[in-house]
Amino acid sequence: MSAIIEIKGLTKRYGALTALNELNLTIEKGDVFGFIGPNGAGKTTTMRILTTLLRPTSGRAQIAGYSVTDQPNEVRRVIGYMPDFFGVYDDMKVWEYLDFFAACYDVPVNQRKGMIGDLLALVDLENKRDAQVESLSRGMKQRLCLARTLAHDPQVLILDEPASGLDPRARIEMRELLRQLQMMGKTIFFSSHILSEVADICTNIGIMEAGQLVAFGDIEDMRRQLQVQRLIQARILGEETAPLKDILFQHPQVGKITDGREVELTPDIVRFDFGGTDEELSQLLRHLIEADIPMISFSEEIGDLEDVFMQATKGVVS
Amino acid sequence: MSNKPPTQSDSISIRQFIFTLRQNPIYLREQGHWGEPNSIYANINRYSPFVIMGALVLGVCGGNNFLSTIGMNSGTEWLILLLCIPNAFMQMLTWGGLFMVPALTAPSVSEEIKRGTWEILMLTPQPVHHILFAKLFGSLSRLRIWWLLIIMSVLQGGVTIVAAATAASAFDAVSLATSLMVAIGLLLQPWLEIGYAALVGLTVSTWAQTSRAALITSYSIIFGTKLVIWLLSLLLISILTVGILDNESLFTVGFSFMRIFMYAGGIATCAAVLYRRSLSVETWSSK
Repeated sequence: MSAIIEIKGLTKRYGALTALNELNLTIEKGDVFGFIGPNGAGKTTTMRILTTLLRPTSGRAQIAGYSVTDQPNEVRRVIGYMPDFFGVYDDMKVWEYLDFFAACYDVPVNQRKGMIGDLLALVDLENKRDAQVESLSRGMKQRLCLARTLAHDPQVLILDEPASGLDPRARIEMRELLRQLQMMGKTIFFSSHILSEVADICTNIGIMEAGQLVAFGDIEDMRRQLQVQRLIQARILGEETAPLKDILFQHPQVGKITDGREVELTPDIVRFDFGGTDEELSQLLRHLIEADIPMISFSEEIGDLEDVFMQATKGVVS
Repeated sequence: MSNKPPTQSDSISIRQFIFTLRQNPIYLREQGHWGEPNSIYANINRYSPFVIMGALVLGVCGGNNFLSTIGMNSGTEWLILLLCIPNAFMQMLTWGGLFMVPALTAPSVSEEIKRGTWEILMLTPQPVHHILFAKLFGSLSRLRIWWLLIIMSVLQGGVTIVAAATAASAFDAVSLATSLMVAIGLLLQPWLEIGYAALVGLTVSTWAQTSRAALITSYSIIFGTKLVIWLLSLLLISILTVGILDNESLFTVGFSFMRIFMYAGGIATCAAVLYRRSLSVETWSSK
């Protein structure tokens, strides 16, 4: 794996306001990088610098070896950018929209027809080929916008809040689409407020606050960095949870233990905080089974990225 | 699909760009190749018969006004009259152009900014100044007055040459030079006025947040300029009337060239602003 996005000491100031402060970040080729943080944290500023729409005050950034400040034209050819609002022409038909942008990227006329078909199939809008863009739903417009970013087959996709304002179904469709793009070898750099979504598809996550990167890595790394407790849920056969709790009490990595009844769950469930690694969790499960605890399920609760996020950020806005 | 390496299209000259303009997608888009880019123009175009009628009246009145104010005592009436016939048509086309051209250029960028497509366009390999050129010429190409304006200009130029050749022996050098300079002024004025209106529309478009605001501001500037010129002409006429300036020929030539310089200055200012804006994408994205 080689670095495709390299950011070193990137700073952006607007007068006295520092929107981005000495950001250092490296994204490997093929990664799906989720950029999260509260509003005003500097996510959009970073993305706009990477897309060459904004010049940094200091520091440097490179995409596919091209400097965003010195080689903007080269950078624009290797990136596809989707802003956080719809960039669509309502007066065009769906195929015309893609055809127009393909033409802007110098894609030859004889290649465009096939390419448009491929892109529409990818974003599941084949049956809307001749529909007016105006008639599309919000989710469809968002997918069309994503298809547009692919018109010139870029290596890197920079997506600002791609799922913002979408209903749950459209959000799932967008997530699946990002997975497909990752499988196609694209490097995806995207921002989101929907933490569970980031956790599901990202290989790496960066948490920004007040213009600074406060945490970076995969979720496991971050949990370790921030010493965040994981929430584990165990379900046993029957309602006799005392033997299970006894073992858990003795384990050094187990924190607070909650009975299922206390959190409006069934009495056969026990929840507990766990501060250890995956290996330690695996050992704990093995120990429970060896101790003849009738385990039915043993799983980590999703939503723990929110804990990471809350731990990493203090609600400070630059 | 494969990644394209950077091509030389990034650095092609303006000359090459103009030569290949007809293949430029942004130019073609402005012409209505992909959808209807300008709903304001489409709406205004429905009222074009009224614009033509209004322009006809204003054009004829403009021509008559010209006849009544200059050249009546110089013995060159017939020459002036010959010049004024195509000029009346050119005036008519100018008035029509002044109404229609801002409707074409003023929404061209502001509409993109409103739609959120401007930044996307700027991230294509098309340099900003190429985008602006393509938008300007693409939108103007939708107006159907250009051939008529060219024909009238040629006609007026031809009339001027024929008149000058036949009158060379009949009139003194000053009258002849005056008539020629007025004729040159009349020939240039419609092009400069329409060019000024187009560039004002485009320049305002790069600042305005909505197409409607861009259009209203453009009309205000364009017709404001016309009003200033009209007031200046009144001032000059009153100076002439009270006898401070007693040379009608000097007045006529002076006024004609003052108009030309004002419009040429306006065009140069707009071009300079647009050029400066096109140097960096950041000046647009910071909006």
